[in-house]
Amino acid sequence: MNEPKPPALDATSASVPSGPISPSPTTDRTAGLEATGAYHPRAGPAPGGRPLPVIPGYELDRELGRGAYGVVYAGHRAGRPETPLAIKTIEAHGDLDRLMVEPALLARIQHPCVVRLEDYFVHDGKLVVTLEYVSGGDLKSRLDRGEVFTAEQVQDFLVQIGSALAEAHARQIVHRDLKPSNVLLDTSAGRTRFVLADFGIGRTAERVQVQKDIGGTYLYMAPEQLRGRAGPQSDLWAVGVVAYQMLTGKVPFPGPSVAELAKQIQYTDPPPPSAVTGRPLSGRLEEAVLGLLRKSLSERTASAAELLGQLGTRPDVKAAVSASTGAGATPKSLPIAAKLHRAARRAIVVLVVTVVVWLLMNAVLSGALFLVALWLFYYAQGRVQHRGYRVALTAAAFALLSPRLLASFVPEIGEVLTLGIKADSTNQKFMESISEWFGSAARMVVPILILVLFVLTLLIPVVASAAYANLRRARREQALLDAALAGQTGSDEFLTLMRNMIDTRFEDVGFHLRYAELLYARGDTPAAAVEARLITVQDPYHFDANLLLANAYYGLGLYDECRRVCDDYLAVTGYSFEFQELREQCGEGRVT
Amino acid sequence: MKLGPKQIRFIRPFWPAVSGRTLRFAGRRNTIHLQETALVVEGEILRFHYLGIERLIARALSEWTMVTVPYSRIRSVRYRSNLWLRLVIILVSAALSTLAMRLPWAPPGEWTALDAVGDALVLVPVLVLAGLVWWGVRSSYALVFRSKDGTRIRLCFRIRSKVQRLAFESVLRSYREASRAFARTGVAG
Repeated sequence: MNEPKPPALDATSASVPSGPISPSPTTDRTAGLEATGAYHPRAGPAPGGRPLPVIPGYELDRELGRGAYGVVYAGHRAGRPETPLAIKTIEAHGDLDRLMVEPALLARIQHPCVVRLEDYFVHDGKLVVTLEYVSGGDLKSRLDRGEVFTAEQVQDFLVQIGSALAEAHARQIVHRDLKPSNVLLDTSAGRTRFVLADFGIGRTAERVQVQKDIGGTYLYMAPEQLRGRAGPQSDLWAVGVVAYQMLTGKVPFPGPSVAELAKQIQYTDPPPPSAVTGRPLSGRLEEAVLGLLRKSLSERTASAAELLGQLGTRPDVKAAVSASTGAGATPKSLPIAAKLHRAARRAIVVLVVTVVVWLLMNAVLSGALFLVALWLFYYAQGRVQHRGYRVALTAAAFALLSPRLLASFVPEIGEVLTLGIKADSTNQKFMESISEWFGSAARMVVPILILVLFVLTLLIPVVASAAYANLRRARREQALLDAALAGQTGSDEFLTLMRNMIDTRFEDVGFHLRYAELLYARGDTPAAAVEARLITVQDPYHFDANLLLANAYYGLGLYDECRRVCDDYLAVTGYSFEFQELREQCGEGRVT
Repeated sequence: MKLGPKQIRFIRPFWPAVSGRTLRFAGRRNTIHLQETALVVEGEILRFHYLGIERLIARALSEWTMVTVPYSRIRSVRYRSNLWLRLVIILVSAALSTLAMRLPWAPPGEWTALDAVGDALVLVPVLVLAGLVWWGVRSSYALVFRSKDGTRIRLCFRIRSKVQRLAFESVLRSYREASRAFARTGVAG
């Protein structure tokens, strides 16, 4: 496997550079075991001639792997060789409670895609955990060999691990360290079963987290996990990273250093997998993977159940596991770019058709004037910043509307006063023509037509406005896709294009934030600070925008401003340790 | 916990707000996300409105955006089933229909086919109107919070499933309690 992965990034105890956006180090006793590919049967019976230990009630066959804090053996219960087990022994070093987390969490989950816990106990000062033996090795070794998985296999992976996570999250368990070496493969039943293992740094997510708690592997850590607030959606992010890696053979955020990696994870979007491989990919699968890799928690796939829904699978265990049977599991779907293009084209067609129908229903000239007036009014309200021009354009719009309004309403006033009901002249002529064509039957047809016309008059604006909104949405998604394709640096032309789009969708906080993050990732910190400040005008308590603003101020050396942003946020959400930490760093920065 | 478009609908309040303003959303893609730090509403917010006419072109007048509400800024979250109001509507509609129809009051044998048409003409609009009012006053939540400038803002929405509703209440309550407890003691929950 030729992925650019520095060794330090795959260790939970890697050193961390200073700076407000960087994660803090953490120490995890099971880290050594993870690195060995715990249950892979590649090791011999007793490497180095070491004798196998004696564990009461079990017979050990060979050593599977060895880490800094423990060893994994292949073995079985005494007298039951037909059921192989993975037997993990971990040195307690006086911190047995911490080690008991994994078996305690595993004991709460029963799922075919989560490694099954057989037993656990303390023996000779070590914690012994006996687990289901999964014979196919781990995903990491397959990826390291340069294997790229098919779309169907990745769909299987997403469905199975998604189902396992749905079960774990329903029990308030967050894995926090999902990565290829913690996904085991079982091919014994004729198709691949993906099995989630190693809940060593898992935690229960029952309460609001008020203290920073980092754990995991940087390459697979979500932005909020880097900041120390891992939640169920952080596991989904890691699933997205692994799926991306399976599809492309590359990690989406390959940062050459921890600081660079942290910046990429927090501020850049990966290019779509199909753009990396050059192969077309089902739009549904690609959307699912990219949906897992959204920075903002609001935009990211909210739950494992939602992921399964996106993939067309029910969230219950049997459905999820039985539905993913490899070939044919991925439904045919257009690639993302083609889907967006089609959605935009469809919206334009609907918009044009509704406008034409509306014009035909009305006098064409006055209808066109009406539409021009509407457009002028909308343009004046939405685009024109200068107050004088805005008033002038609005007045022009009303001037264009006035003849039609007068023609429509003034004659009707008399009719309303006399309680008369009469179709207007256009409709009247139309009805007379109908009467000539159909004779007496027109007596029935005419009221129905009037009703249809009335309903159409009401429906056309609804359909047209929906088409307009859909068109804007498709254009927004296209721009975000282009932003991902443009990469971290992004050309000046592209940034100008985004800037222009923001002018017409100033209230779109999510889009605006992507623009600010792109600027920050490019190193244009002053511009990023300005944009982040503008976002906070729109949404004063937006977490990511405030954090970006504080980071930008910090990066610019504006420590007082940074502290003020932090203080403002902490005043309403005191337990946001992300701001607390930054605030403390501001104090240190000012002193130095 | 996130309530997606299939689980939640933003609605217009039945009663107008006495003070402050109301957030109005259009379309069916709106969501509420209960994050650890704040409640985040995402959707197509109406830029301006006028006497309900905007409903015809609501989506063209709306903009996709996000509103973040820290738990400490939430003043109240009230669930109204509106059951009594709906029952009253049904009873009043039934009474009005009965009064207006000829069938209950006509002597036996004198109720003709023409009367039947007349009764139907009375009954249909009353039933349609009652249905609309019934639909308009369904059970809903009214969430009131203070914006950064102190304005009182109201947000009305309806959660479709009872299971989701109870889960939403439970999670929101725990976050609000954690927020209050932290403000008092520095320790959440």
